[in-house]
Amino acid sequence: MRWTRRPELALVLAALAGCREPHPTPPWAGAGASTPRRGGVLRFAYDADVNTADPALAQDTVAAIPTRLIFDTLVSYGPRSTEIVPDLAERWEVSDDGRRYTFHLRPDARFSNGRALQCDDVRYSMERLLDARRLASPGAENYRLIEGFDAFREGASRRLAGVRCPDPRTVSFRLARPDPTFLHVLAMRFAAPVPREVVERLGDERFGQEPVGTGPFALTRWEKATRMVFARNPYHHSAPRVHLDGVIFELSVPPHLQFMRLLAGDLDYVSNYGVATADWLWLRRHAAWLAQTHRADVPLIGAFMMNTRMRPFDNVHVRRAVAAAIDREALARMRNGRIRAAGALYPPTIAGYRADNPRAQRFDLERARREMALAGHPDGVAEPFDLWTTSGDGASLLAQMIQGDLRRVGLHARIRQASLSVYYSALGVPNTVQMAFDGWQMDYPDPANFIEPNFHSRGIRDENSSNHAFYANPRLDETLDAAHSELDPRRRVALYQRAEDMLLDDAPWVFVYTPVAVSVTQPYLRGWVPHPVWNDWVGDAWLDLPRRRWTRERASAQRAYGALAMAARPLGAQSP
Amino acid sequence: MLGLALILTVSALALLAPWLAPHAPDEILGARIVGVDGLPEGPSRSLPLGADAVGRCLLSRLLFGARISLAVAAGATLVVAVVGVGVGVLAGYFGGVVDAVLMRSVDALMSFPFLLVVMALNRIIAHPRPWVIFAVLGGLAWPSMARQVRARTMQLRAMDFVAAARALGASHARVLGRHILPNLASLVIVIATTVIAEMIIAESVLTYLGVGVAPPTASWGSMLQESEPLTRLAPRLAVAPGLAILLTVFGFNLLGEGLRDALDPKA
Amino acid sequence: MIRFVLRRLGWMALVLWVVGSATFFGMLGVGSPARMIGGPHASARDLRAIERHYHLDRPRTVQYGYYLQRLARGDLGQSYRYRRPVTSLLAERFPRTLLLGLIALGFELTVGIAVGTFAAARDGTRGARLLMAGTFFGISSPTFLTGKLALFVFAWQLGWFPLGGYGATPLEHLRHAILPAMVLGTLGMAYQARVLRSELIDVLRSDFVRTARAKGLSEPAVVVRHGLRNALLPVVTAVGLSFGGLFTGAIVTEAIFAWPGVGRLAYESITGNDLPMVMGTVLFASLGIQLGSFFADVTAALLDPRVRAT
Repeated sequence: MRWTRRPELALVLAALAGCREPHPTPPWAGAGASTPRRGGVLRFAYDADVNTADPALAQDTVAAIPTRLIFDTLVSYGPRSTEIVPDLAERWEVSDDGRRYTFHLRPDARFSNGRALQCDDVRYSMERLLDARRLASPGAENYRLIEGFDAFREGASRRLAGVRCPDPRTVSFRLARPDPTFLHVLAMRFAAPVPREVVERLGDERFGQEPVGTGPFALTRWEKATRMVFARNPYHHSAPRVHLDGVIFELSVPPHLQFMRLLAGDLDYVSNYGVATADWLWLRRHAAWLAQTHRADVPLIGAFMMNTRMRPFDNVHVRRAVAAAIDREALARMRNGRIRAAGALYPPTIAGYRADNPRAQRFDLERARREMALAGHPDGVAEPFDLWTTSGDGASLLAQMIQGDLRRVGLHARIRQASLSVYYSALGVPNTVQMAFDGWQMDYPDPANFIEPNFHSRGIRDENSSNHAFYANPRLDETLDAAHSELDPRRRVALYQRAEDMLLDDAPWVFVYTPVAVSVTQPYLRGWVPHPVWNDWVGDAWLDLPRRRWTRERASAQRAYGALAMAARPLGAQSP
Repeated sequence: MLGLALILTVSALALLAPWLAPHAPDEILGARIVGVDGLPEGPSRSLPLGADAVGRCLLSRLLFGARISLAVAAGATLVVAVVGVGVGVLAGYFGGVVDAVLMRSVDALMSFPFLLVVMALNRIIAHPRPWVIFAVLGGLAWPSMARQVRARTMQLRAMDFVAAARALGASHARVLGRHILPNLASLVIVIATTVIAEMIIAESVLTYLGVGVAPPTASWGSMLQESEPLTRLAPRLAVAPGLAILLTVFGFNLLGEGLRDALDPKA
Repeated sequence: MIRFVLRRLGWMALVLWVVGSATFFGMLGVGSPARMIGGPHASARDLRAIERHYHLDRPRTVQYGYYLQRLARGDLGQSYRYRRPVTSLLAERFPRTLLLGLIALGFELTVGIAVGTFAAARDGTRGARLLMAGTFFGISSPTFLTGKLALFVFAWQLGWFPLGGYGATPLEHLRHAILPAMVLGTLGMAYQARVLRSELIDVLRSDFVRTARAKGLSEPAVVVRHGLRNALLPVVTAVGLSFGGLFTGAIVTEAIFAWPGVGRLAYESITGNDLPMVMGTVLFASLGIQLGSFFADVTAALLDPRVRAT
């Protein structure tokens, strides 16, 4: 049979032969406005689906994006910093013992249905979040420092004693002990105020589909698993300073499609997840697009944890050998600068980070071999051990590189890929996982959040331990406890750095990298910079669209969404 | 016979992989990870197909990958053949209650969504070794073989020579072994070649979706999956395993077709 | 006929129970569902609260009891990830999968029948041989290769189709469905063409066709009216058997083209260990497969009285 003379094959080959790059330069330039312009709909995408828009339940990266547009919190972060700034609360006082926080709500804080925010909403939202029988929120435990937490959560008391409403515009929190991380915890979306009457009317499940919040945008349409459409919340306290008319957030768009659609002018920006290795290399060769990329350190530490209770890693010398055997710079080269080699716990944007810490872990093959000899394994350990990873491609490639590095000092890793839930439940059980690709993506930008869950011996349990290395060091625990109630910021950071040094020496983790996020924006997308705390924050951006594109954009949005609810009639805003 | 030639070539390459491959398939050739342009090093004398995304020899992985892909497919097909023929012959030959029970379970198994269940099973096992994958694939794919074998067995049983053998006092075992099974051989071989082709695809799909062969073991599916982030700039990373899958599957289908024409008295 | 239908329905319920129980016990105890719901940062105490909320702290047999009770009511439980009923998630996704599947089926049937008929009528000519070689290509190429290639060439390089996704208006849905549907239908199209061709060649050799020809009927009329009508039975059967695919959707195609159907939901729930969702999609798919084979049997009986006799 002569199968080589294939017409379709010829067609395909012809198409490939005429292999022009379809979009070597951005299809639309900016119009050149110097001050922010109002209007336009920003369009971006993400590689996963949003499961719920209920802030009390939205714990994953993707669900955080819409909830941040819909809900404001009492305090928040500035557009380019990790410092706490006022948001729904215009100011606050902290008592001298550091246990009482009194917040004064903005008089113009309103929900997107027009109703003013009151202290009762804040209290209601906290109690709803913490009621174990109601939501079983994955974030409740963050608020354990509020007085009366245990009694309320276990059902022994009907009210949360630590939250009081002296008057409708004042909220007071009382903590069980002083805690400088409290403001960060309040800035997490779990604590976002929700309107009581809407939640009670819709019920919790429907509220997650038709949320109403105090944020700059309101959800007007949600085509499930496809896109979420937002319009400016006309009642938002800063509505005049929200430039965009709306936002279209496309869901479950795989990276290869995101990047192609960006080049085709179909998305206004792509975040790090949408830029695959090949795309990044492609960008480096196309100056016009390269000028549109932003690089930012991600507050995440990538590491490998070694179980300090299991052989061969119960020997500190083996752990130190591993810490010295990993060629972090080679990894960074392999990822073409998408990651930055790291030798310590705190990423660059976090207080406590030291660029030039002499004790930081670093690649030193000689030292690794010396440590192996000190450990009593000059010829390596013949018996292989399991190296667990999650099943993403990135994780698997990284594990394979590490496997190669470890072989050079005579350690033989067997890679074990597991689904996330299997992986985390195994890592949480003592004497189960010898070594794993691990790491920490922060909940809030503070060194405490990086070190306490992972290394305090309080995190060791019979199951669901957060201390995956089962590392117990009384001196470290003492330092961390002292640091946690230290109210002086300078002394506090110094304590966290001392704690970090203990880890570098004992090496329960080998620190490997922090990611560098690459995002690409269209030339007309202005005022957007990678936010140091939040992924994909677009609330401050504006569009400097050329007129032609402007008209086209508006026409297509109107076709699809009927004036895109430009008049913003958010879901759930109708009164009964 | 183009099909046979293709299959023999691929099988020979797979068998001889340890001698033909220039490197060990999992060996990371440190310095070759990235060239100046940030891409894995291209083809050269010591790396005939260049390096992959982690800096391993692509040719070696392709050759060793052939072993895994073919072994999984062949293993699964063996399971299909053994179970399918066993069940089909018993049901077709004995009929009655045996037939009813066996065919009902065949029906039940056939109403499992194949890919979904295989994915879920591999997920449960979490760390599938190649033999687990072929057992799972084979364990779920045999019903259609059983159906066809049963139909043929029923035809055969009704034929004169079987009746004659029974009348002459031959035991069931003897009739099955001497008269039924030999006459099923051609049918089974024809079906098996197409099943192998399907299984090669199934293995690569599973591994491609991340629920198949675990790294660093090379299989064509895992090579395709790992090439994904680089495909646009280094298409050879995807073309090599893709073409290997395509040609092998093509070969088996072609062979199956040829055999059907040669063995089927109807045509 | 009514007894036949009732027996089939009873049998279907039984098989669904088997399938459901098998997936239940298969998936139970895989990893920690609470961890999946709570995410990597959830504390041990929050995870315990989640377990209580979903009755995950009860013994398996008790959970199985709950499961069967719900199943009997047609309730497939709550998705762990979405915290919503599995049935409403399936209801959202199914129309999209159906749209994609029906277009694929249409493509598969029209092109498949046309190619098969042509190849049979012109058996032996170069054109027919070429077409058949093409169908060989179709049955040999895995969807994830053809899909990626089609996306790259036709959507990206040539710009004829949208770059994946689902669109916002009904017209856009259609436009976005064409390329993935063609990719999805290629395998079936090639298969149908091959089956139809060999069947049709047999029919065209039979006596009654010879009679028709002798009566002086034109060749196209002979092929279509006498040949095709009698050769379509295996095509109908194959359609029935592929019907289940319309329910599960095409996992690979939907992933490549970002089509938000049941297949993608199934894939995400398997990789995310969303147990109730996995069980729901498996049951749903199984229902589809059974309905498909049921319809295939019924149509076969209607088309061909000989089948009813056996």
